Amino acid sequence: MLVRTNTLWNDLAEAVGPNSHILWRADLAHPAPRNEFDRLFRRGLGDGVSGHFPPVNIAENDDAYVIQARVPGLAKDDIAIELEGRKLTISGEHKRVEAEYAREERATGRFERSFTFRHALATDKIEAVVKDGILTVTLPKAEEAKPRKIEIAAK
Amino acid sequence: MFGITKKQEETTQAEKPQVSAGVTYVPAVDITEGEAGYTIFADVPGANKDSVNVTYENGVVTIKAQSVAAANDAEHIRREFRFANYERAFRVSEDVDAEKISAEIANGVLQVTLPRKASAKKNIAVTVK
Repeated sequence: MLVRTNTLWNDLAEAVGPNSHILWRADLAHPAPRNEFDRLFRRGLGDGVSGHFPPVNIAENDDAYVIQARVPGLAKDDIAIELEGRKLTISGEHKRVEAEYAREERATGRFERSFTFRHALATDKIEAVVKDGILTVTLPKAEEAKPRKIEIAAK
Repeated sequence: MFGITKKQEETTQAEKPQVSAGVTYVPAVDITEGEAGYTIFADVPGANKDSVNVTYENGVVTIKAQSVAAANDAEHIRREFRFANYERAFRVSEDVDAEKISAEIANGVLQVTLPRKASAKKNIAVTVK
């Protein structure tokens, strides 16, 4: 499959002259151009469920956790979010469009990823928004789990 | 849909404030090929119509985009990706009609459509007798 996609691209390049290839900009210091290893890693293990996708950032403050996930190409209906106690699961599928690919680097397949939080969550106040390929899930902490200042009684 | 600027000197998007400082990624792309032409799909999560720029010059299509997602100043307990700039360039085939290159963005995926020239699309039927 990898050979097939590369071959197609080479055919295209051949057809338009010796300088026709994907131009890697030398001034793009990082990251290194994607290689096949990177590609396979990103795509997870075949059509199986990958534990590494999507990549996330998780922020925490006294009141809430905020998860941001990188999900380019996915809309609201492509993503499922489930909460079970303190465990949040994000799942979905990047559907592969049937076409003749000259190059295929973007992730496809089903994904599922779970996170278990240290604090109890206010399950009825969780909000999720997907915009421009970034999923943001805000999980407020349960009132009883929030840090609380203890007043010292004066005697 | 938005227009393609012919020359990079005319580009104003490049002068935009850097929302995501410094980091530039090479976006992952799919390129499909059909009778009508080629289509590039580039993953540019966090970018939108106003932060993306596609130029064509001397047979090279350049994609530039910036993530403009809101900065989250809370303490991160996990960080696996960065809101970045994206840049990648492709030399396009000579059968592409440069005048008709178009681009659109949805859900953090930039789609650049490169139609073939009308003359290049013709199929010449050969009858075998």
